[in-house]
Amino acid sequence: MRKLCCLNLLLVVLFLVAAPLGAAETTDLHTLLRQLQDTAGQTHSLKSDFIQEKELAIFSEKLVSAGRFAYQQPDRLRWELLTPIDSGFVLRGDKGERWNSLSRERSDFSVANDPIMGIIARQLLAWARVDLDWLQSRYRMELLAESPVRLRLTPLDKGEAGFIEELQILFAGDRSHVAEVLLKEQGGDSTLLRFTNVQLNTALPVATFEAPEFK
Amino acid sequence: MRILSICLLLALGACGPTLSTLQLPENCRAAQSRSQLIAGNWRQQPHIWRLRQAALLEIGSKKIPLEGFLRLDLRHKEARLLALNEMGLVLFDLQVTEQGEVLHRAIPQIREHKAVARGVAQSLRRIFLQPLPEANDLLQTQGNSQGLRRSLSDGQLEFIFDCSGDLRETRQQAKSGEWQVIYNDYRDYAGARLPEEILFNDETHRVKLSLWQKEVKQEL
Repeated sequence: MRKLCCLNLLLVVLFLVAAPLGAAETTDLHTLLRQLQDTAGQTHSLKSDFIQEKELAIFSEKLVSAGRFAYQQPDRLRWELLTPIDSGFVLRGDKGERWNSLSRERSDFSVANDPIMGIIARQLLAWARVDLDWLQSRYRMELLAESPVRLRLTPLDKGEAGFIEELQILFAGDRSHVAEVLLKEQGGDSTLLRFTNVQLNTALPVATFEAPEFK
Repeated sequence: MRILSICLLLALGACGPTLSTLQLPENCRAAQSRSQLIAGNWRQQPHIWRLRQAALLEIGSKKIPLEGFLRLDLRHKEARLLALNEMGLVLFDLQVTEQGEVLHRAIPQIREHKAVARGVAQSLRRIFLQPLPEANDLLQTQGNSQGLRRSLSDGQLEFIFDCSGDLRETRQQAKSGEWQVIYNDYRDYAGARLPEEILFNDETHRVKLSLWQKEVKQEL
């Protein structure tokens, strides 16, 4: 695994040397990423609202949803969709619970036995804490813009590349958190997540990382 | 693994949903002609609808909630459903016609277990595309409801309309299979009336699909 990370890091560095970076070509991406990681390291908790805009290419249709997001170091997440359907999941380490107001059920999942949820949860965690080792083991990174920072991530894993073409991550102006994530799928669909009302390092109740009860 | 469990449940014939009871308005009298009922049926009008839906698929005792976007082309008798998870990722893209279905793309777990896509396709076909009331069906009026009945080689097919002339139920009772669709809470959209809640229940295969319209647009 360590060899793989080193290899990926080497590939990233080689890519940076070989590939032009456009407007941001003077920036040392590796240094920038370390700065982002150092900044993220000061974030113990984060909560925000989000708007999710899903573009369906074949129908030229945009589906807008809204929800809430929370993160607490080192590995706790809550992703909750409020509209159009109240649903979501919480993650505590490698295990989590999903819920949905339609089925009025909660169900356990683990990152290991649910590959799709695993990818989603790991990505959210990686964005929240700017987990460079993980990101570099999974994606080829390019710097698209420096101010504010926008990165393009291309999956290295063939399975993931089978349905995700690329991710674009936009950081807030002060680089304290991720402001937007654009996920482009193979086939032309895309999902834009915009995080708003972001609050850093506030105390989050224990219940934040628990699934709701259905009575 | 989860999908495999679903298929096992299906194969074992675990306890499934039972047929629902239709609730009709009572203080009114149904009195439309057969041709009026057929002409007023939204499924037989040549519109194209873009429907954002919440869906709950139940196979045996297993429940699978989904968000879906459905393009329903009643002109060409075709439905195309994109099912999404809570992160907006497309789980599958399924095209359904009167005769067949095409799974354009799907996450590996769905693609590997074709019974799931086939079950959804059959549900969508019966909810939206066929069977449809026909001019030869037998009209029966009973106070606040009217039915159009058709004899099948191994049973019976019936369409129930309420006193407003809205299609409220399609029910097949035959040796080849027992199933019903209930259409509830009709609302006006662009001059047509569509049900906000649709409940499909296939007794034979222990499959139930519940749909709720969240956004309705007509494609011009």
